[in-house]
Amino acid sequence: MVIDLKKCIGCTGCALVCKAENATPPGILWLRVVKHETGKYPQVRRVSVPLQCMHCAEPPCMEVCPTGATFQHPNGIVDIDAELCVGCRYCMMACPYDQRFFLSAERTYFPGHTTPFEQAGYQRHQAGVVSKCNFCTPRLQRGLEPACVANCMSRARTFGDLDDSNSEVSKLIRDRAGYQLHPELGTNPSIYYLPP
Amino acid sequence: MRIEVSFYGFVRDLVTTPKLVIDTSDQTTVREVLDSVVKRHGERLRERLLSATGELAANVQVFVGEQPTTSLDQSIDHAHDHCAEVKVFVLSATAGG
Amino acid sequence: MQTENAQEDLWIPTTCGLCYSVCALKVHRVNGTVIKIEGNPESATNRGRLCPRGVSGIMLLYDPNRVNVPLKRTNPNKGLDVDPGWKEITWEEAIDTVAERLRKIRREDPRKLLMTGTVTTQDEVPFSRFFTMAFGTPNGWNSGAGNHCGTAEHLYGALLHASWAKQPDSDHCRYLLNFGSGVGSGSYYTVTGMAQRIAEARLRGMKHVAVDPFLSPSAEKADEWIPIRPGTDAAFALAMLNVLLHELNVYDAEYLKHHTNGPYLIGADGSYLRDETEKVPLIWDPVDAAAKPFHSPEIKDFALDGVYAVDGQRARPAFAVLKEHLAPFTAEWAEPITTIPAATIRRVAKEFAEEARIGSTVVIDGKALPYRPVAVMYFKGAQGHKNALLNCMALELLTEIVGASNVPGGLLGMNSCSVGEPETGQPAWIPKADRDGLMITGYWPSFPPPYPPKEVRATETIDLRGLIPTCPGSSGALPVVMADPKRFAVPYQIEMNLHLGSNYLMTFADPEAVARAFQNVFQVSFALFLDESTYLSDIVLPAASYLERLSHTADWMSSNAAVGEWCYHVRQPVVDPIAQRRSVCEVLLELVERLEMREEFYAFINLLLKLKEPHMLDPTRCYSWSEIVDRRYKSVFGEARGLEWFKKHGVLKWPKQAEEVYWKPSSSARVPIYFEWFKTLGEKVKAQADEIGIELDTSAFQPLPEWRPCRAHEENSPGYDFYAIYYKLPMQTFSGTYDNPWLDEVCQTNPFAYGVAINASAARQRGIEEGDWIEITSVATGHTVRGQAALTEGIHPEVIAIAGCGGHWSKYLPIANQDGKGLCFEWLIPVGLDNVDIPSLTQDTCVKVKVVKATDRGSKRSSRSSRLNDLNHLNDLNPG
Ligand code: SF4
Ligand code: SF4
Ligand code: SF4
Repeated sequence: MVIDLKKCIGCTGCALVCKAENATPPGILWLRVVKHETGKYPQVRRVSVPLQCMHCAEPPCMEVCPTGATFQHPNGIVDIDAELCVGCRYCMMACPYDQRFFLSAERTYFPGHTTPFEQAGYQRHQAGVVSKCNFCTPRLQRGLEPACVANCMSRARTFGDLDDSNSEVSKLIRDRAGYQLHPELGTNPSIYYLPP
Repeated sequence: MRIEVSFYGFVRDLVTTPKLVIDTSDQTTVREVLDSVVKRHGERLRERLLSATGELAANVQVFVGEQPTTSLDQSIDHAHDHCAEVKVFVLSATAGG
Repeated sequence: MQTENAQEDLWIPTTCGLCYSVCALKVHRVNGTVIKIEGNPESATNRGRLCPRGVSGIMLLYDPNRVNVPLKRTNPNKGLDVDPGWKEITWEEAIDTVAERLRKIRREDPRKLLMTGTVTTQDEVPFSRFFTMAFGTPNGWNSGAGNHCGTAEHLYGALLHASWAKQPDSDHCRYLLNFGSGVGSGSYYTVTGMAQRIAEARLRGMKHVAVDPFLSPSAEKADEWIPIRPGTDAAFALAMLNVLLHELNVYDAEYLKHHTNGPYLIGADGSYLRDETEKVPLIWDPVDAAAKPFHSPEIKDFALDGVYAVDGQRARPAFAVLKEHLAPFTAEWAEPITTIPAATIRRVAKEFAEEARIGSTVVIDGKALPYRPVAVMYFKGAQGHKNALLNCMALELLTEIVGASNVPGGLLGMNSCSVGEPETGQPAWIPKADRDGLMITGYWPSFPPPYPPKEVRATETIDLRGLIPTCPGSSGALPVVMADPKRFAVPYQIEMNLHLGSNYLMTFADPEAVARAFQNVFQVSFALFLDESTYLSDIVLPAASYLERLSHTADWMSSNAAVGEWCYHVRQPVVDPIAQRRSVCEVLLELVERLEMREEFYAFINLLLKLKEPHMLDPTRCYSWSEIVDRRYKSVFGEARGLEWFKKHGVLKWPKQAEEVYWKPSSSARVPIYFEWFKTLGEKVKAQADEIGIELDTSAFQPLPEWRPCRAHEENSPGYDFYAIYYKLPMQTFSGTYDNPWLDEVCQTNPFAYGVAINASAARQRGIEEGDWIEITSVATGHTVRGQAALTEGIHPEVIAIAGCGGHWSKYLPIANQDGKGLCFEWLIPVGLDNVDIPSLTQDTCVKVKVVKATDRGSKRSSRSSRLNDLNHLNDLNPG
């Protein structure tokens, strides 16, 4: 996935469309948008940076998972099998991007009340396990783009195959000098950012 | 002829009966009709309907039958059975930030 | 979302109702439950995309804090913090009570009825205005008159662009000079559509220069940020005009001659010289050395400069008068006012002048059109000041002088001109010229349009708009007049308020002062929530949200981008109204029957919805709401495209033609660069005000722009050394969305959403660190609000910036009313005519405040704070 920081306006629509698509419970945002400021007044730059699971080619989280709950799909997507997850949270410490989330207890957005939406959606999340962005694998299986890509209101996000040098994402990375976050860690993330 | 004048909108504080009937000669104009209505309801009605120069105020729309008119000098011909209908709408702002 | 074993699995097209951008939706309903709201990719308005609010609508639909049953007040005392003691009643009892009140008022004096709405409900509010009009009252107020509304900006929208709002030409603009508007960054009009278009323009290389006290979401995306002292944008603009006309000698003479009143001759008294017979304005033809009526076919050329003797009178073209007027406003003059170096002002003026490419053309749809790829944008920030009318005038003139108004690349009205859908030729509107040759809008969402000038009248309305007819929208004077109508010779007092979803206590100014104006009024609220303003209600009715109701129109004049396609939407319920909620329009139809005002109401519907035979309403029978909606669609879009068609297809769209988008070159209507009639109008206002016995400063009714200080600029009380400003974020709409837990969650990840942006050095000098609780006290109201400091280098050192309308206190909003959920900026702004721009009745929204670190410590912001400081790969992003 490529995220164009020149296009992104930091609206957080992606954070919430992820929530809507995946019915993540309170306190859990698989995608967050942070602000990063550099410079001194009046020469200042502030950039919005959306962060989510980087789907590293060399995922440190997978290495430390004692049960094999964290695994890689053949297409490179890093996923978690909730049935196998024992909630040890080693992966959360191992993830250098802070993109894994532990659901300690089942909660709803309105204390003491479960909305019909939550009734329908929260079956997918069990307490005591770790969860994170799965690149909307269920949507991909239906031939759709990830929700955050499909909804981005500045069209900052492009999804595609990094291994195909002719894909839109590969071209963007080449033409616009796309970069990964913390490449020195050797994790080789699948998310590339285009400079603002 | 018989002219039925109906008022709509921001005039109800002045015109308590929204519909009234006046009898005029067979050749009359919108101005004459409004004049006779003003006679009945008072000068404040004239101020509401007409501008200082005696034209229709910007927020007043008059229909003779189904036809809108912008000119007070429009004549009202006897339509059916020496009867005509004049509708006066006084509009007020509908939107705004 | 995956849907196993679904008996029902539907995608229903409808329209978002959470802001005035009205994005088209596809709502996914499975077994009766809404599980996802997506943007409808068929729509040209939002092209499949939604902002965070649009996505979060599910939580609004199912929020257990929504009002679900009719309620009546049991506590006779009213006040900001006084619990109304709600008691559940039946709909029948509620309607009986309301109908009885209305009947009594209508009998006594219908003007005693007020309707307060909000700008975000583009369907219910206009329809309800038909109701109040038929009822016989002229009184209405949209709470946006405070901190959200463009007020004076909309006036110039009408006078210069024939539209309510405007946008840069995102397809061709190359230089956007933006005085703080949120265009393309998640606020302003067509939020989601413009975000996409402006993002494309950025990649295309459009330079965006942001003049803004705060590095706002919009300024963040600019190529250059120029911090400015609040309320001084006009000084910057005047200095730019000075550089353009007196140093660079750059202006579009052809445009000024043929499309403005620049060549009209102005006499010594400041008025047009007029032709003896026709009484139309004269121009000077330098070829024949003669004055001629502006529309004479004999004109060989128009003089823009010079002094001429016409019938013994000394006369000059309006453009020459403007030019001379601008002479003192040099860049050096503006520097100490704006805090922007004169050299920067000169450079920006030069860039703007060069990029305007005066004289160049571009071929669009086979026609050569002027190509002026520069635009000046502004909205509430630059406009919401004591000097609103003349501030906006200065900003607008930049675009006009270089001829960049409604031509390719420039500033475009949205939407000035519509030739209609190809099959029906509807809806259609086109700007036209009045006798003086100046433009009247083809369509205006209110009535009547601001030009031609209206008469000055006694104060028949409760908001001074009769007296001050230049006010284009909601009036900042309403709470002042309502508190003491006798003083303004208003012969009645408001007794009842039909209150439609506007939390006016939190969106105008000092809530205490506003509450005083409303507390003796019988208030009937159609409400989603028991918000602060319903504390003053006597009856609260549970309203259906946009996901639960049908609308006669989901769209309005400015819901489509200026370029691209026309697009009209449907708004239909995606679920039946939950509990006892009801659609406002349906309830109003019932009240119409109860009040026996069907004949009048239908007459207004026929007139204002422009219903056509055979779809006009016949008062001898009673129509359901969906029948009325169907008739509206059929009247506009033809027999085949009624409600059923729209319900099924969701949107109807067709391409815009070049002459609709770039309509100015082919229009004979001129626009003013010299606002001749303002002066005489001001004199009339003064005379009328004197007659009433109210003191009114009418000195700002002027034909030419000027910068004047706000009260805040002249405030020197020790300790009050910050200006407080307000701005918008895409995560909340005004005050109405703060109880949404999803929006709350993302707001907590943004330090500015709930915090107070303050310059890091200025804060540290006062011992304030990131996340510290601070107290902000207004010199004007004496009120104090609390919030957490969000330190940034990206803000003018004299300024603190507060986003949105947080700081709720209603006990019925359990998510919004917690400490640290934003601040209510309105506590800082006083209510009073001293604080209002008289010609436009715009509320001044800048104020001096004292900022101190709070002595008691509140809780720190949540631990998953948004600022990751270790994003070292972004550290090389320094500007340069
Ligand atoms: S939705 Fe798009 S523009 Fe908005 S924050 Fe996410 S990536 Fe950025
Ligand atoms: S790819 Fe899907 S799961 Fe991952 S952040 Fe985007 S929306 Fe969420
Ligand atoms: S921009 Fe406005 S209309 Fe569009 S999704 Fe957001 S809240 Fe809804």
